[in-house]
Amino acid sequence: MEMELVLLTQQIMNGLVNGMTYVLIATGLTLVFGVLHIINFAHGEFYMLGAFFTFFAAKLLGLDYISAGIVATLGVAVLGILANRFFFWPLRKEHEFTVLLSSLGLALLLTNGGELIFGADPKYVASPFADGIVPLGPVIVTQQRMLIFAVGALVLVLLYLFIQKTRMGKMMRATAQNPEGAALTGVDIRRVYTVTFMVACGLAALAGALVGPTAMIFPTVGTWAVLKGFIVVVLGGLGSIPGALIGGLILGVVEALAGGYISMGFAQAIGFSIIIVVLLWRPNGLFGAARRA
Amino acid sequence: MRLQSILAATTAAFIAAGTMAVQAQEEPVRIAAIAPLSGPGAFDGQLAVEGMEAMVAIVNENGGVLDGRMLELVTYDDKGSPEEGVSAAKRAIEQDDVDVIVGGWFSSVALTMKEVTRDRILTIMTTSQHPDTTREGHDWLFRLNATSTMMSGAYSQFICDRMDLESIAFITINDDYGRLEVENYEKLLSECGIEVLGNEYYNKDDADFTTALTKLRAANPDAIYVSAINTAQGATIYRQIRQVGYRGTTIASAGNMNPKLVELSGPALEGVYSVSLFAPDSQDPELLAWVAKYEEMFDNEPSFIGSIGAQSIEVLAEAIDAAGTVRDYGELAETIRGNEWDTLLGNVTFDDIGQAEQNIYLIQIQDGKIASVN
Amino acid sequence: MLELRDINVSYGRRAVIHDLSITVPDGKVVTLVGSNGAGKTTVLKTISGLVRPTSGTIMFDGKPIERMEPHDIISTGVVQIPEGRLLFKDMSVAEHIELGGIRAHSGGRTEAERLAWVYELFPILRERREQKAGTLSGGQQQMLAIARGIMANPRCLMLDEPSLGLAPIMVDQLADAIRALNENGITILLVEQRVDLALRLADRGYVLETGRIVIEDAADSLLENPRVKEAYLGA
Ligand SMILES: Nc1ncnc2c1ncn2[C@@H]1O[C@H](COP(=O)(O)OP(=O)(O)O)[C@@H](O)[C@H]1O
Ligand SMILES: [Mg+2]
Repeated sequence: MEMELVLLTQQIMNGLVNGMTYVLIATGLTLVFGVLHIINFAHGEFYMLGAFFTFFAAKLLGLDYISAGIVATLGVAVLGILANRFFFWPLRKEHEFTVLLSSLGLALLLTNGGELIFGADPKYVASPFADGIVPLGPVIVTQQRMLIFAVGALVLVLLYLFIQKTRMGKMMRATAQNPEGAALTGVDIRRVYTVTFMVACGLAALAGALVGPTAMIFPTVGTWAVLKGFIVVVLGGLGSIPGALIGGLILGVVEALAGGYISMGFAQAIGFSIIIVVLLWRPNGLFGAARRA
Repeated sequence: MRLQSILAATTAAFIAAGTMAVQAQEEPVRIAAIAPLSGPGAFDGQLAVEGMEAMVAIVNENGGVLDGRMLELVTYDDKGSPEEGVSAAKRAIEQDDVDVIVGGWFSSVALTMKEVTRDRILTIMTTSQHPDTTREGHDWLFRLNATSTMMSGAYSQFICDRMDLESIAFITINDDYGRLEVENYEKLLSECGIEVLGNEYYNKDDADFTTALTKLRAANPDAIYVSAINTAQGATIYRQIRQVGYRGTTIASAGNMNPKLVELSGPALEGVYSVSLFAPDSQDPELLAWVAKYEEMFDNEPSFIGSIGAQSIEVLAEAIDAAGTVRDYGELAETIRGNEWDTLLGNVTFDDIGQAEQNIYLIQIQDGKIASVN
Repeated sequence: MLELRDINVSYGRRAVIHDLSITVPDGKVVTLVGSNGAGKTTVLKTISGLVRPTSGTIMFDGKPIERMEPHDIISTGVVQIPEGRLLFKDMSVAEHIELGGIRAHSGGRTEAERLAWVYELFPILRERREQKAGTLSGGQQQMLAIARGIMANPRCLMLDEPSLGLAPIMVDQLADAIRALNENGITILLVEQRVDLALRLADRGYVLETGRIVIEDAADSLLENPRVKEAYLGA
């Protein structure tokens, strides 16, 4: 292949993988918004916890990377259940804005708690796939990044099937579209809350476990995650899972091309610019329906 | 020199021992330690304060200063932000009435904080590398680290003379410090015939550098120079350099090597060069004593940033004794400027604007350890 | 079988229902009529558990239900077809019918029997099984809302203004459907602003004004009641 084309392909690959991490983060965020109409600023902290739990599961329990990642995902999913039980469920009748501010408080609590318990020093989640390279012709991708993409794609398919085909998935969609109608149909709204937070926090943790080995982790890393998540969610449309998928991949690829052909210093600004352009063109995001009155 | 310092220490200990019984109840000398203790720089701030604590313990075990006054650290969190640095310094001066201030680990904080301390309190700036910290400093302000200009002078000499490179590319943090770095090295390295093939800036909260590194790899330079002041980003960059398939030489920016970075970067940092004021295998007895004390008190490995913290305490303690005063800042500053100080990092002198002159060592990661290169 | 006694309801500090008592006897059709804002919907929401009464009791089959969760109330056989249908606009007809059965009261018709019955009552829904609720006509949406309710196997079915927004021909069909449900043993509590229609379907009626029951009588007597005639029958 010609040099320029190789470089372009490489950058698009880089972007797709980064985009998939954004998708995993944004999916939980958009799920919680879509089903429960909650904007959860603490979502990034569950990503952070996923990465740290993976680190400690490997270190303290002696687990291999994959088992540690699974344990972390399940552990944080349980924390999601607790966060709902003691935090979001009791607040459900409050104004949306109150809930949003409270979630900001929860984020601070988890970050500071993280600094206290995990220490401020950065940590590295070791993975046997981190440095192994999968050569796809002249294009280079590490095994870890292939894993991120493959697991991300698989999880999205499973999530799609869960939401479309299972009884619980249907109850979640019903709650999303008409909470009162759902309650009068017999949907146990509290269980829907529980399952939604469990799935969303589990997804965030899975993203943390997968992305952990590609960078360093520290207790404030959740701020980065939630920022990326929100860009994607706004881009794709609040509450839309296909929107999170397309939005995440677009953001990843655009950042990679901007970084690769202009400058990484601009990549972030370009992320924000595409949001503005998309919102001017489609105020509810690429896949967003107008919000119900 | 060594003999002299041992002599000095012994004498000091003697005097101290003689007077301690009488003077033990005196007011401590209170030193404000303003450092990033939360947020992304929290780990670096922790290492810095630990380094100071260890040296304070040594000084106090030897009888403190001014005939038996103990040193006491009062810590403040600047969160790595200029605004927080300013408010911490104000609190230290106005509310807590501390005797001296040690701070300025990041240049952005040092540059704003110096305006609060100007003509009010004696201030030691530490790892900040921006030339303006001292160039636009004040009569009672000193800075220990070499400026980025001094560093780049020494480092580019090493690079040109020893590394046999024909081309180089940079990946640099996008701030005042980073831009100055690139400007300096592009000029200095071009002068000795190394071709500069590119520079990529990144932001201080980026976590993925593969796009920039892919681009640099495509330019195929003999070496990539990594300017990273924060340990987490640094380690990520060193790992990702290998992960994008680059196999050339990696050069780490001056003054940012620490054991944690080595641990986090794994094999990616093996053989990588940097320069430091801290010669890791130095046998200086003061350094050894500090390392021993540090390891006794803390879990982290002693680091360069910690040794700069320790040096600030050492210079202050010796100068306060020599001047016979803490609060007469004019006298104390005159004393600091007018003498050579024997510290754990070797001998230090200060010029008219308070800038330290000290040794700069070339170091390399060998078998997962920071080692000096001679 | 369904009995509300001395119910009071407030939204925040504002009391909207005052000492309300209603009895819906087994197998009968009872209607609750009143003008807009009288509090009819609030009464049904309170029975369904969406709103908690500040005082009073609601007994179904002799058991108190006023502290139960909405889905548990449905399991006892008390089912509501809400005002405005409250359908899930992006979900298919089949999915609505499936969800309708998730908390079905056990006993009586099996799920398969109910499904067959629903499609017999509303054959159009069978044709439109895969269509999204949001794309149905107003009449079809009301049919779907009733079908969803029937799937819950109600013993007592509450309908909140089912005629709202329907064309006259659809209103007749609706009346037939309500009659058919009642003939099949389902007790009905019908809330309507169309007082004439409601009283013609009902055995008994209650008139609600600003949160208080002001008149209570047999439906045919109410049709003749001068105060009802003047206020609600436009005579
Ligand atoms: N969620 C609510 N919050 C506050 N007030 C309400 C709410 N819902 C209804 N109301 C008020 O309660 C009263 C009764 O309303 P409603 O039960 O809907 O009456 P109806 O169904 O007879 O038209 C009205 O004055 C209405 O404004
Ligand atoms: Mg109503």
